[in-house]
Amino acid sequence: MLSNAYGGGQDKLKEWESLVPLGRLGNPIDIAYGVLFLASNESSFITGSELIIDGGRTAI
Amino acid sequence: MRLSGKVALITGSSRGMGAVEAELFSDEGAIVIITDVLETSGRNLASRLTQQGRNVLFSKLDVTSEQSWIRVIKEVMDNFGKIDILINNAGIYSTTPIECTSLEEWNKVMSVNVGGVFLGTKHCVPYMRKGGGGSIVNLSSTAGLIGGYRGGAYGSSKGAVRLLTKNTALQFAKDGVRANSVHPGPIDTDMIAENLSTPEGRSASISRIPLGRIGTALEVAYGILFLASDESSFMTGSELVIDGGVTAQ
Repeated sequence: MLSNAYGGGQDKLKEWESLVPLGRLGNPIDIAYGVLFLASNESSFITGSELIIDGGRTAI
Repeated sequence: MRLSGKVALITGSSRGMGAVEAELFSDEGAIVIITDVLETSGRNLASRLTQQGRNVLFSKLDVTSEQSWIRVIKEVMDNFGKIDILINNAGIYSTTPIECTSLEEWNKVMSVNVGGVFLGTKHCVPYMRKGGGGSIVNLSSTAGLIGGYRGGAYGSSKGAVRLLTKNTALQFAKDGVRANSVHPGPIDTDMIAENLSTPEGRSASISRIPLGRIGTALEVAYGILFLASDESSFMTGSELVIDGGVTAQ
């Protein structure tokens, strides 16, 4: 999605990475694990919550 | 196993939620250092889990004492050579109204609930950095997100934990050290046993929870496990609210 938006430009990707405290872009699997947790019974007392998976971007 | 080979220190884990975390983490392959000021129950828990073939040990820790932290972390490094996971779980509860709260009580709540997190973070981070990273999970509360009609010290301390977590996340992201906070709502543990001791108290608590029941310690422990594990490796500075929907209202 991001690669398409920026025509796969490496410079643009580097710029995005520099905005993320963890210093990298997320991978689909990073999101999938969060979704798995919320879908499973392990989160049975969680409802109406938000799970932010953003490498620390919104903690700034 | 989800924490295979990881070394995890959990504060306040002789009983209650911390003990459930210790059991779950060791089940998932972690080496767990159970720490608490409560020595007898901590040693009993450690020996029970050890008999079941789990890799745990108890070390006495007063989270408000810097010397105590230095001694325990040295013990962890001497035994295992690294620390991957720190769960700042130790905490004390107070519902004393502001006007009736002594400065002594205020300071005690702050010292355990915030000072303990600060000291643990300060003394674990250098070793996590040396090991290439780590995960810190700080126990805040829904009382750290919204106000309450009772108390003052507890909510203030948990609000501080929420932002201390974000500062930790940003300062050490470059070192691969992640930090996230967990915000449980009403959970069936000793901490709020008094609130739930009468049928009226219990039904008053439940009436405010959209899911219609009190949560269990295991339901919080699973959230902490997720944040401690590499499954959440792109999460830092986040809040995980486990409250049956209370704060969605």
